[in-house]
Amino acid sequence: VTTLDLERLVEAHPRLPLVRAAELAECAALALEARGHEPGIELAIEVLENRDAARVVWTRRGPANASMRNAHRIIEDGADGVTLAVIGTRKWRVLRCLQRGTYADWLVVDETGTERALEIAGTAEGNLATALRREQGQVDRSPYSQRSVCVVRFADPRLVLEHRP
Amino acid sequence: VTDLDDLYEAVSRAIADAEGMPDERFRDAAAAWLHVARLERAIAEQTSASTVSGEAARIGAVRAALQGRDVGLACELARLYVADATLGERPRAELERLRSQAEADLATLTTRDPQILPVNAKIVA
Repeated sequence: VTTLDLERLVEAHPRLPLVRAAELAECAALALEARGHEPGIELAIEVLENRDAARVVWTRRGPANASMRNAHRIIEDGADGVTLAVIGTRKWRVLRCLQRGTYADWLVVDETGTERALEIAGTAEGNLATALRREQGQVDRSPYSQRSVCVVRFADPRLVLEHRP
Repeated sequence: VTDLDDLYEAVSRAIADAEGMPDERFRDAAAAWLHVARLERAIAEQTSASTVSGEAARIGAVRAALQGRDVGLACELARLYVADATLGERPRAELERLRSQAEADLATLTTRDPQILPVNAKIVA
């Protein structure tokens, strides 16, 4: 089983600013801990309809850190952190972040060298299929030619990533 | 900053700074967005309009100019980028939309500006 180390996002994505990588890792850790998960929890992964699993590890933060951050930001940035860790193991790389309001969060290059606008969303305990449909609608409004969407659920950790036509 | 890798990192940081600016610091926010616009333009100059990074830079430059309240620059850039025949359908539609918005904003500003009229005067030593 692949190990995803949330503390090593920058190694997979060297263009990700260090401060931002640290924020994403922290939020991912806090989102998982808030649902009672410990480092080493298994994440179910579905990338382009291929199912897989990985063990997620991080340095424990504790509840005191969570109280200093907005709960919505923890879920959204946490989903970004988990997703970037997963795609990093698949040879995808972050090129840059995208401006808010363009219905995509990151510009990434996939393992084939194709550039893609990637929209990521998280849900604590909500229905993953519903969240995926909502985000499909968002990214379909995005102005970029190549688009992908990813959703992360933290309650029973699960990630789904797909390309959009 | 001229290297494309460095520009990508710089624009990510600049967008985070501009988006994180509180509402009451609107002058600083405008300056921060104009910095984003400069970086996006620099990326646009080094990337083809037919790539997703080229699309993002062109759309990003116009959006950032609008956020930075430089409507004239937003109009100029949108017209320039839309004229590129290699631009895809989706980004073209977005740039056309932004161009219409910028032109409407510019028309409003022009109407609101005070009129400057010549005055007959004679300066005597």
